[in-house]
Amino acid sequence: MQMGETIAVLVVFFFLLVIGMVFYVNIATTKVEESRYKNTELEAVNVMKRALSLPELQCSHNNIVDEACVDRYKLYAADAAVEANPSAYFDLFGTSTITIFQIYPAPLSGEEPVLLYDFKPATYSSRLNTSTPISIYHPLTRTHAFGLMEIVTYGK
Amino acid sequence: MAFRKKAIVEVQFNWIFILIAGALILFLFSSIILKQKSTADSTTQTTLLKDITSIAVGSESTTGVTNELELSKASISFGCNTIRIGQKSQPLQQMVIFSSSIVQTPLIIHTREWSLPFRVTNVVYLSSSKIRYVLIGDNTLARQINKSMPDKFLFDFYPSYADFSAAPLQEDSQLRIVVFEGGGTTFTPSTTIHPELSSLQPKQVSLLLVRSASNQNTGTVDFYLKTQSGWTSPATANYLKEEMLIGAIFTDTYDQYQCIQSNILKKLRIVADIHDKRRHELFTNTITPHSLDRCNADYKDFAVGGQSAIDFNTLKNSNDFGQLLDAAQHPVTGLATINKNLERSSCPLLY
Repeated sequence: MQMGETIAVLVVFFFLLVIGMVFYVNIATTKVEESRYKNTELEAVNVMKRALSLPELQCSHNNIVDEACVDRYKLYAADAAVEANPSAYFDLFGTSTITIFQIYPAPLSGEEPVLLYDFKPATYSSRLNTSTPISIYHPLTRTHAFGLMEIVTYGK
Repeated sequence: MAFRKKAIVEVQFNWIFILIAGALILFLFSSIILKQKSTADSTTQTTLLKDITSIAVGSESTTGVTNELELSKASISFGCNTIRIGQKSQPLQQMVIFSSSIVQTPLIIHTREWSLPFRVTNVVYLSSSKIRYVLIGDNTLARQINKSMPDKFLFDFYPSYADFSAAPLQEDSQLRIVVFEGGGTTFTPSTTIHPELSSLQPKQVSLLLVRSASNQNTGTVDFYLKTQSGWTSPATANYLKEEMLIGAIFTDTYDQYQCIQSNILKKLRIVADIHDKRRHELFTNTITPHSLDRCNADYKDFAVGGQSAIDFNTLKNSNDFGQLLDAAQHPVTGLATINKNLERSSCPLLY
Protein backbone atom coordinates (compact mmCIF):
# COMPACT_ATOMS: atom_id res chain seq x y z
CA MET A 1 0.00 0.00 0.00
CA GLN A 2 2.79 2.41 1.07
CA MET A 3 4.85 1.47 -2.01
CA GLY A 4 1.88 2.14 -4.27
CA GLU A 5 1.51 5.59 -2.74
CA THR A 6 5.20 6.36 -3.31
CA ILE A 7 4.96 5.27 -6.93
CA ALA A 8 1.85 7.42 -7.42
CA VAL A 9 3.64 10.47 -5.94
CA LEU A 10 6.61 9.86 -8.25
CA VAL A 11 4.34 9.51 -11.29
CA VAL A 12 2.63 12.83 -10.46
CA PHE A 13 6.02 14.46 -9.82
CA PHE A 14 7.45 13.33 -13.19
CA PHE A 15 4.20 14.28 -14.92
CA LEU A 16 4.48 17.83 -13.54
CA LEU A 17 8.19 17.90 -14.41
CA VAL A 18 7.47 16.94 -18.04
CA ILE A 19 4.73 19.60 -18.30
CA GLY A 20 7.17 22.17 -16.87
CA MET A 21 9.89 21.14 -19.31
CA VAL A 22 7.54 21.32 -22.31
CA PHE A 23 6.42 24.81 -21.22
CA TYR A 24 10.03 25.97 -20.76
CA VAL A 25 11.16 24.58 -24.12
CA ASN A 26 8.24 26.30 -25.86
CA ILE A 27 9.10 29.67 -24.30
CA ALA A 28 12.79 29.21 -25.11
CA THR A 29 11.97 28.35 -28.76
CA THR A 30 9.79 31.48 -29.09
CA LYS A 31 12.59 33.59 -27.64
CA VAL A 32 15.11 32.09 -30.07
CA GLU A 33 12.77 32.83 -32.99
CA GLU A 34 12.33 36.42 -31.78
CA SER A 35 16.06 37.00 -31.40
CA ARG A 36 16.70 35.40 -34.80
CA TYR A 37 14.30 37.87 -36.45
CA LYS A 38 15.82 40.75 -34.48
CA ASN A 39 19.30 39.66 -35.63
CA THR A 40 18.17 39.58 -39.26
CA GLU A 41 16.77 43.12 -38.86
CA LEU A 42 19.98 44.29 -37.21
CA GLU A 43 22.06 42.63 -39.92
CA ALA A 44 20.04 44.44 -42.61
CA VAL A 45 20.79 47.81 -40.98
CA ASN A 46 24.48 46.91 -40.60
CA VAL A 47 24.76 45.79 -44.23
CA MET A 48 23.14 49.06 -45.31
CA LYS A 49 25.54 51.15 -43.19
CA ARG A 50 28.55 49.21 -44.49
CA ALA A 51 27.46 49.49 -48.11
CA LEU A 52 26.87 53.24 -47.83
CA SER A 53 30.27 53.81 -46.24
CA LEU A 54 32.30 51.84 -48.77
CA PRO A 55 35.00 54.01 -50.39
CA GLU A 56 34.30 51.92 -53.51
CA LEU A 57 30.87 53.59 -53.81
CA GLN A 58 30.84 56.83 -51.84
CA CYS A 59 30.67 60.26 -53.44
CA SER A 60 33.61 62.32 -52.30
CA HIS A 61 35.18 65.69 -53.06
CA ASN A 62 38.82 65.70 -52.02
CA ASN A 63 38.09 62.98 -49.46
CA ILE A 64 35.10 64.88 -48.03
CA VAL A 65 32.32 62.37 -48.14
CA ASP A 66 28.63 62.98 -48.99
CA GLU A 67 26.37 60.88 -46.79
CA ALA A 68 24.02 58.35 -48.42
CA CYS A 69 25.40 59.15 -51.85
CA VAL A 70 26.64 56.76 -54.52
CA ASP A 71 28.90 57.90 -57.36
CA ARG A 72 27.49 56.61 -60.65
CA TYR A 73 30.86 55.89 -62.28
CA LYS A 74 32.17 54.21 -59.14
CA LEU A 75 29.01 52.11 -58.93
CA TYR A 76 29.58 50.49 -62.34
CA ALA A 77 33.25 49.86 -61.53
CA ALA A 78 32.43 48.55 -58.04
CA ASP A 79 29.89 46.14 -59.51
CA ALA A 80 32.70 44.41 -61.43
CA ALA A 81 35.11 44.61 -58.48
CA VAL A 82 32.64 42.97 -56.08
CA GLU A 83 31.92 40.24 -58.63
CA ALA A 84 35.66 39.62 -59.08
CA ASN A 85 36.39 39.51 -55.30
CA PRO A 86 33.28 37.97 -53.68
CA SER A 87 35.19 36.61 -50.69
CA ALA A 88 36.54 40.06 -49.82
CA TYR A 89 33.00 41.38 -49.47
CA PHE A 90 31.47 38.37 -47.70
CA ASP A 91 32.69 39.65 -44.30
CA LEU A 92 30.85 42.90 -44.92
CA PHE A 93 27.62 41.74 -46.48
CA GLY A 94 27.26 38.06 -45.50
CA THR A 95 24.22 36.30 -46.91
CA SER A 96 22.41 39.19 -48.54
CA THR A 97 21.52 40.78 -51.83
CA ILE A 98 22.14 44.48 -52.55
CA THR A 99 20.53 46.23 -55.50
CA ILE A 100 20.68 49.92 -56.40
CA PHE A 101 17.83 51.48 -58.42
CA GLN A 102 17.37 54.93 -59.86
CA ILE A 103 13.84 56.22 -59.21
CA TYR A 104 13.80 59.85 -60.36
CA PRO A 105 14.40 61.00 -63.00
CA ALA A 106 13.30 57.84 -64.78
CA PRO A 107 16.41 55.81 -65.65
CA LEU A 108 17.68 56.10 -69.22
CA SER A 109 19.32 53.36 -71.19
CA GLY A 110 22.50 52.34 -69.35
CA GLU A 111 21.06 53.38 -66.00
CA GLU A 112 19.38 50.08 -65.23
CA PRO A 113 19.34 48.72 -61.64
CA VAL A 114 22.73 47.41 -60.50
CA LEU A 115 22.88 44.14 -58.57
CA LEU A 116 25.93 45.02 -56.51
CA TYR A 117 26.16 41.93 -54.31
CA ASP A 118 24.29 38.65 -54.45
CA PHE A 119 24.82 35.84 -51.98
CA LYS A 120 21.55 34.04 -51.52
CA PRO A 121 21.90 30.85 -49.45
CA ALA A 122 20.33 27.65 -50.76
CA THR A 123 18.15 27.38 -47.63
CA TYR A 124 17.17 30.08 -45.16
CA SER A 125 14.76 30.44 -42.27
CA SER A 126 13.83 34.10 -42.74
CA ARG A 127 14.11 36.80 -45.39
CA LEU A 128 13.94 40.51 -44.72
CA ASN A 129 13.60 43.18 -47.36
CA THR A 130 14.85 46.68 -46.44
CA SER A 131 15.21 49.80 -48.59
CA THR A 132 16.84 53.12 -47.97
CA PRO A 133 16.73 56.28 -50.10
CA ILE A 134 20.04 57.37 -51.60
CA SER A 135 21.24 59.94 -54.07
CA ILE A 136 23.10 58.85 -57.18
CA TYR A 137 25.67 61.43 -58.22
CA HIS A 138 26.74 61.97 -61.81
CA PRO A 139 30.27 63.44 -61.73
CA LEU A 140 30.12 64.96 -65.22
CA THR A 141 26.75 66.69 -65.04
CA ARG A 142 27.19 67.22 -61.27
CA THR A 143 23.59 66.29 -60.74
CA HIS A 144 22.01 64.00 -58.19
CA ALA A 145 19.31 61.47 -59.02
CA PHE A 146 17.01 59.98 -56.42
CA GLY A 147 17.49 56.27 -55.92
CA LEU A 148 16.93 53.35 -53.60
CA MET A 149 19.29 50.83 -52.12
CA GLU A 150 17.39 47.61 -51.59
CA ILE A 151 18.88 45.07 -49.21
CA VAL A 152 17.57 41.55 -48.75
CA THR A 153 19.06 39.71 -45.78
CA TYR A 154 18.63 36.01 -45.19
CA GLY A 155 18.47 34.41 -41.75
CA LYS A 156 20.06 31.01 -41.18
CA MET B 1 5.48 -14.20 11.82
CA ALA B 2 5.03 -14.25 8.01
CA PHE B 3 3.20 -10.87 8.17
CA ARG B 4 6.08 -9.24 10.14
CA LYS B 5 8.66 -10.64 7.65
CA LYS B 6 6.68 -9.20 4.71
CA ALA B 7 6.52 -5.80 6.43
CA ILE B 8 10.31 -5.78 6.98
CA VAL B 9 10.94 -6.64 3.30
CA GLU B 10 8.52 -3.87 2.21
CA VAL B 11 10.25 -1.25 4.42
CA GLN B 12 13.68 -2.29 3.07
CA PHE B 13 12.37 -2.19 -0.51
CA ASN B 14 10.94 1.28 0.12
CA TRP B 15 14.34 2.58 1.23
CA ILE B 16 16.05 1.07 -1.81
CA PHE B 17 13.35 2.49 -4.06
CA ILE B 18 13.68 5.97 -2.49
CA LEU B 19 17.47 5.82 -2.89
CA ILE B 20 17.25 4.87 -6.57
CA ALA B 21 14.50 7.42 -7.31
CA GLY B 22 16.41 10.13 -5.38
CA ALA B 23 19.64 9.35 -7.22
CA LEU B 24 17.80 9.47 -10.55
CA ILE B 25 16.19 12.83 -9.73
CA LEU B 26 19.53 14.22 -8.52
CA PHE B 27 21.26 12.97 -11.68
CA LEU B 28 18.54 14.50 -13.88
CA PHE B 29 18.80 17.93 -12.28
CA SER B 30 22.61 17.84 -12.14
CA SER B 31 22.84 17.00 -15.84
CA ILE B 32 20.35 19.80 -16.67
CA ILE B 33 22.42 22.31 -14.64
CA LEU B 34 25.71 21.17 -16.22
CA LYS B 35 24.21 21.35 -19.71
CA GLN B 36 22.82 24.84 -18.99
CA LYS B 37 26.22 25.98 -17.71
CA SER B 38 28.07 24.74 -20.79
CA THR B 39 25.38 26.30 -23.04
CA ALA B 40 25.69 29.62 -21.17
CA ASP B 41 29.52 29.57 -21.49
CA SER B 42 29.27 28.76 -25.18
CA THR B 43 26.64 31.51 -25.69
CA THR B 44 28.85 34.07 -23.91
CA GLN B 45 31.81 33.15 -26.10
CA THR B 46 29.69 33.26 -29.26
CA THR B 47 28.16 36.65 -28.31
CA LEU B 48 31.59 38.08 -27.53
CA LEU B 49 33.02 36.74 -30.77
CA LYS B 50 30.06 38.17 -32.67
CA ASP B 51 30.56 41.56 -31.00
CA ILE B 52 34.28 41.65 -31.83
CA THR B 53 33.64 40.51 -35.41
CA SER B 54 30.93 43.10 -35.81
CA ILE B 55 33.35 45.78 -34.57
CA ALA B 56 36.03 44.50 -36.94
CA VAL B 57 33.70 44.52 -39.92
CA GLY B 58 31.69 47.59 -38.91
CA SER B 59 34.80 49.74 -38.55
CA GLU B 60 34.34 50.50 -42.24
CA SER B 61 31.58 52.95 -41.33
CA THR B 62 33.15 54.83 -38.40
CA THR B 63 36.44 56.65 -38.16
CA GLY B 64 38.25 58.55 -35.42
CA VAL B 65 36.20 56.81 -32.75
CA THR B 66 37.49 55.41 -29.46
CA ASN B 67 35.42 53.01 -27.38
CA GLU B 68 36.02 51.11 -24.19
CA LEU B 69 34.10 47.85 -24.17
CA GLU B 70 33.17 46.30 -20.84
CA LEU B 71 32.69 42.73 -21.93
CA SER B 72 32.55 39.52 -19.93
CA LYS B 73 35.98 38.32 -18.80
CA ALA B 74 37.74 36.61 -21.68
CA SER B 75 41.04 36.18 -23.40
CA ILE B 76 40.83 36.91 -27.14
CA SER B 77 43.43 35.56 -29.57
CA PHE B 78 44.09 37.23 -32.89
CA GLY B 79 45.64 35.28 -35.74
CA CYS B 80 45.95 36.03 -39.44
CA ASN B 81 42.32 36.69 -40.40
CA THR B 82 41.02 34.75 -37.40
CA ILE B 83 39.60 35.79 -34.05
CA ARG B 84 39.43 33.12 -31.37
CA ILE B 85 37.78 33.00 -27.95
CA GLY B 86 38.13 29.69 -26.12
CA GLN B 87 37.04 26.94 -28.49
CA LYS B 88 35.15 29.31 -30.80
CA SER B 89 36.81 30.98 -33.74
CA GLN B 90 35.64 33.31 -36.47
CA PRO B 91 37.48 33.36 -39.79
CA LEU B 92 37.46 36.65 -41.69
CA GLN B 93 38.54 37.36 -45.24
CA GLN B 94 40.18 40.75 -44.82
CA MET B 95 40.68 41.66 -41.21
CA VAL B 96 42.11 45.14 -40.59
CA ILE B 97 42.60 44.95 -36.81
CA PHE B 98 45.99 45.74 -35.34
CA SER B 99 46.30 44.16 -31.90
CA SER B 100 48.46 41.97 -29.69
CA SER B 101 48.24 38.20 -30.26
CA ILE B 102 46.31 37.84 -26.99
CA VAL B 103 44.17 40.58 -25.47
CA GLN B 104 42.27 40.38 -22.19
CA THR B 105 38.99 42.21 -21.65
CA PRO B 106 38.06 45.07 -21.08
CA LEU B 107 38.92 46.18 -24.61
CA ILE B 108 39.82 49.60 -25.94
CA ILE B 109 39.10 50.16 -29.62
CA HIS B 110 40.17 53.06 -31.80
CA THR B 111 39.61 53.54 -35.54
CA ARG B 112 41.44 55.72 -38.07
CA GLU B 113 41.23 56.24 -41.77
CA TRP B 114 43.98 55.00 -44.09
CA SER B 115 44.08 56.96 -47.32
CA LEU B 116 46.56 57.07 -50.23
CA PRO B 117 45.53 59.80 -51.17
CA PHE B 118 41.87 58.69 -51.46
CA ARG B 119 40.20 56.85 -48.58
CA VAL B 120 41.01 53.14 -48.81
CA THR B 121 39.87 51.64 -45.53
CA ASN B 122 39.53 52.24 -41.83
CA VAL B 123 42.03 50.54 -39.57
CA VAL B 124 41.12 49.33 -36.09
CA TYR B 125 43.53 49.43 -33.16
CA LEU B 126 42.52 47.07 -30.40
CA SER B 127 44.13 46.96 -27.00
CA SER B 128 43.32 46.54 -23.35
CA SER B 129 43.83 48.50 -20.15
CA LYS B 130 46.38 45.82 -19.21
CA ILE B 131 48.81 46.62 -22.04
CA ARG B 132 51.22 49.55 -21.60
CA TYR B 133 53.04 51.16 -24.53
CA VAL B 134 56.32 52.89 -23.78
CA LEU B 135 57.62 55.21 -26.51
CA ILE B 136 61.33 56.06 -26.23
CA GLY B 137 63.13 58.57 -28.47
CA ASP B 138 63.73 62.27 -28.79
CA ASN B 139 61.98 62.39 -32.09
CA THR B 140 59.13 64.42 -33.65
CA LEU B 141 57.37 61.26 -34.83
CA ALA B 142 57.43 59.71 -31.33
CA ARG B 143 56.02 62.90 -29.78
CA GLN B 144 53.40 63.17 -32.54
CA ILE B 145 52.20 59.59 -32.03
CA ASN B 146 52.15 59.96 -28.25
CA LYS B 147 50.10 63.15 -28.57
CA SER B 148 47.66 61.72 -31.10
CA MET B 149 46.73 58.58 -29.14
CA PRO B 150 43.50 58.72 -27.11
CA ASP B 151 44.00 58.92 -23.31
CA LYS B 152 42.23 55.59 -22.82
CA PHE B 153 45.30 53.74 -24.11
CA LEU B 154 48.22 53.45 -21.69
CA PHE B 155 50.90 55.39 -23.57
CA ASP B 156 54.05 56.71 -21.85
CA PHE B 157 56.65 58.84 -23.56
CA TYR B 158 60.33 59.11 -22.52
CA PRO B 159 62.87 61.11 -24.57
CA SER B 160 65.72 58.73 -23.55
CA TYR B 161 66.52 55.36 -21.92
CA ALA B 162 67.77 57.28 -18.85
CA ASP B 163 64.34 58.89 -18.37
CA PHE B 164 62.63 55.51 -18.70
CA SER B 165 65.10 53.84 -16.30
CA ALA B 166 64.51 56.55 -13.71
CA ALA B 167 60.79 55.68 -13.59
CA PRO B 168 59.66 52.49 -11.80
CA LEU B 169 58.13 49.80 -14.04
CA GLN B 170 54.35 49.77 -13.83
CA GLU B 171 52.66 46.49 -12.99
CA ASP B 172 50.81 45.77 -16.23
CA SER B 173 50.32 42.32 -17.68
CA GLN B 174 52.01 43.29 -20.98
CA LEU B 175 54.63 45.89 -21.88
CA ARG B 176 55.30 47.01 -25.44
CA ILE B 177 58.47 49.08 -25.82
CA VAL B 178 58.80 51.22 -28.93
CA VAL B 179 62.21 52.72 -29.65
CA PHE B 180 62.43 55.51 -32.25
CA GLU B 181 65.92 55.55 -33.71
CA GLY B 182 67.55 58.93 -34.33
CA GLY B 183 68.22 62.04 -32.31
CA GLY B 184 70.83 60.23 -30.21
CA THR B 185 68.70 57.12 -29.58
CA THR B 186 69.95 53.82 -30.96
CA PHE B 187 69.17 50.23 -30.08
CA THR B 188 71.12 46.97 -30.18
CA PRO B 189 70.08 43.75 -28.42
CA SER B 190 72.70 44.51 -25.73
CA THR B 191 71.25 47.94 -24.90
CA THR B 192 70.03 48.26 -21.31
CA ILE B 193 66.60 49.77 -21.57
CA HIS B 194 65.48 49.49 -17.97
CA PRO B 195 67.21 47.71 -15.05
CA GLU B 196 63.97 45.97 -13.93
CA LEU B 197 63.16 44.63 -17.39
CA SER B 198 65.12 41.39 -16.91
CA SER B 199 62.80 40.39 -14.05
CA LEU B 200 59.78 40.28 -16.39
CA GLN B 201 58.70 37.08 -18.15
CA PRO B 202 59.51 36.89 -21.92
CA LYS B 203 55.83 36.75 -22.89
CA GLN B 204 55.17 39.99 -20.97
CA VAL B 205 57.54 42.17 -23.01
CA SER B 206 58.08 42.87 -26.70
CA LEU B 207 59.98 45.61 -28.51
CA LEU B 208 59.63 47.52 -31.75
CA LEU B 209 62.46 49.52 -33.27
CA VAL B 210 61.29 52.28 -35.65
CA ARG B 211 63.53 53.74 -38.33
CA SER B 212 61.58 56.41 -40.15
CA ALA B 213 62.58 57.99 -43.43
CA SER B 214 62.99 61.76 -43.62
CA ASN B 215 59.40 62.14 -44.90
CA GLN B 216 58.13 60.18 -41.82
CA ASN B 217 55.49 58.50 -43.98
CA THR B 218 57.65 55.48 -44.76
CA GLY B 219 60.28 53.54 -42.87
CA THR B 220 61.11 50.18 -41.38
CA VAL B 221 60.11 48.50 -38.14
CA ASP B 222 62.02 45.68 -36.40
CA PHE B 223 59.98 43.29 -34.25
CA TYR B 224 61.86 41.87 -31.23
CA LEU B 225 60.55 39.32 -28.73
CA LYS B 226 62.12 38.93 -25.28
CA THR B 227 64.02 35.79 -24.34
CA GLN B 228 65.42 34.80 -20.91
CA SER B 229 68.83 36.24 -21.84
CA GLY B 230 67.96 39.13 -24.18
CA TRP B 231 66.07 39.58 -27.44
CA THR B 232 65.33 37.36 -30.45
CA SER B 233 66.78 38.23 -33.87
CA PRO B 234 64.61 40.95 -35.35
CA ALA B 235 62.06 40.48 -38.12
CA THR B 236 61.98 43.59 -40.31
CA ALA B 237 58.95 45.03 -42.07
CA ASN B 238 58.07 48.31 -43.79
CA TYR B 239 55.31 50.77 -43.04
CA LEU B 240 53.45 53.24 -45.19
CA LYS B 241 51.94 56.24 -43.41
CA GLU B 242 51.57 56.89 -39.71
CA GLU B 243 48.42 54.77 -39.35
CA MET B 244 50.36 51.66 -40.41
CA LEU B 245 53.23 52.52 -38.05
CA ILE B 246 50.76 52.80 -35.17
CA GLY B 247 49.49 49.40 -36.32
CA ALA B 248 53.01 47.99 -35.88
CA ILE B 249 53.07 49.44 -32.35
CA PHE B 250 49.83 47.66 -31.48
CA THR B 251 50.83 44.34 -33.09
CA ASP B 252 53.39 42.29 -31.19
CA THR B 253 54.28 39.77 -33.90
CA TYR B 254 55.78 40.26 -37.34
CA ASP B 255 53.49 37.66 -38.98
CA GLN B 256 50.31 39.31 -37.73
CA TYR B 257 51.53 42.74 -38.87
CA GLN B 258 52.40 41.42 -42.33
CA CYS B 259 48.98 39.77 -42.60
CA ILE B 260 47.09 43.00 -41.80
CA GLN B 261 49.40 45.02 -44.04
CA SER B 262 48.74 42.65 -46.93
CA ASN B 263 44.97 43.02 -46.35
CA ILE B 264 45.28 46.81 -46.51
CA LEU B 265 47.31 46.62 -49.72
CA LYS B 266 44.74 44.25 -51.29
CA LYS B 267 42.03 46.79 -50.47
CA LEU B 268 44.20 49.57 -51.93
CA ARG B 269 44.42 47.68 -55.22
CA ILE B 270 40.63 47.19 -55.39
CA VAL B 271 39.83 50.84 -54.57
CA ALA B 272 42.57 52.17 -56.89
CA ASP B 273 41.16 50.04 -59.71
CA ILE B 274 37.67 51.50 -59.16
CA HIS B 275 39.05 55.06 -59.17
CA ASP B 276 41.04 54.26 -62.32
CA LYS B 277 37.91 52.98 -64.11
CA ARG B 278 36.10 56.13 -63.01
CA ARG B 279 38.98 58.21 -64.41
CA HIS B 280 38.67 56.35 -67.72
CA GLU B 281 34.94 57.18 -67.87
CA LEU B 282 35.72 60.85 -67.21
CA PHE B 283 38.34 60.72 -70.00
CA THR B 284 36.11 59.14 -72.64
CA ASN B 285 33.17 61.41 -71.78
CA THR B 286 35.03 64.75 -71.89
CA ILE B 287 36.58 64.49 -75.35
CA THR B 288 36.22 67.65 -77.51
CA PRO B 289 33.66 69.06 -78.14
CA HIS B 290 32.51 68.93 -74.54
CA SER B 291 31.99 71.73 -72.04
CA LEU B 292 34.62 70.06 -69.81
CA ASP B 293 37.18 69.28 -72.53
CA ARG B 294 39.69 71.56 -70.74
CA CYS B 295 39.84 68.88 -68.02
CA ASN B 296 40.40 65.98 -70.43
CA ALA B 297 44.22 66.04 -70.29
CA ASP B 298 44.21 65.19 -66.59
CA TYR B 299 42.05 62.10 -67.21
CA LYS B 300 44.17 60.68 -70.06
CA ASP B 301 44.69 56.93 -70.28
CA PHE B 302 47.93 55.15 -69.42
CA ALA B 303 48.53 54.29 -73.10
CA VAL B 304 48.69 57.98 -74.03
CA GLY B 305 50.87 58.94 -71.07
CA GLY B 306 48.23 60.31 -68.69
CA GLN B 307 49.89 61.07 -65.35
CA SER B 308 46.85 60.21 -63.23
CA ALA B 309 46.53 56.86 -65.05
CA ILE B 310 50.23 56.18 -64.41
CA ASP B 311 49.72 56.96 -60.72
CA PHE B 312 46.64 54.72 -60.46
CA ASN B 313 48.57 51.98 -62.24
CA THR B 314 51.38 52.28 -59.67
CA LEU B 315 48.87 52.08 -56.81
CA LYS B 316 47.32 48.97 -58.38
CA ASN B 317 50.55 47.11 -59.07
CA SER B 318 53.57 48.32 -57.12
CA ASN B 319 54.82 46.82 -53.88
CA ASP B 320 57.41 49.53 -53.36
CA PHE B 321 56.20 51.85 -50.59
CA GLY B 322 58.31 54.74 -51.89
CA GLN B 323 56.68 54.46 -55.33
CA LEU B 324 53.20 54.15 -53.79
CA LEU B 325 53.74 57.29 -51.72
CA ASP B 326 55.05 59.19 -54.76
CA ALA B 327 52.05 58.13 -56.86
CA ALA B 328 49.78 59.51 -54.15
CA GLN B 329 51.59 62.55 -52.80
CA HIS B 330 54.41 63.63 -55.13
CA PRO B 331 54.34 67.45 -55.14
CA VAL B 332 54.33 67.61 -58.98
CA THR B 333 53.05 64.32 -60.37
CA GLY B 334 51.10 62.79 -57.47
CA LEU B 335 47.35 62.21 -57.53
CA ALA B 336 46.78 64.70 -54.70
CA THR B 337 48.42 67.45 -56.80
CA ILE B 338 46.45 66.52 -59.94
CA ASN B 339 43.24 66.53 -57.90
CA LYS B 340 44.01 70.02 -56.54
CA ASN B 341 44.69 71.29 -60.09
CA LEU B 342 41.36 69.84 -61.23
CA GLU B 343 39.61 71.58 -58.34
CA ARG B 344 41.21 74.92 -59.29
CA SER B 345 39.94 74.45 -62.86
CA SER B 346 36.42 73.55 -61.60
CA CYS B 347 36.70 70.10 -63.15
CA PRO B 348 35.22 66.86 -61.78
CA LEU B 349 37.72 65.52 -59.25
CA LEU B 350 39.52 62.18 -59.40
CA TYR B 351 38.53 61.32 -55.84
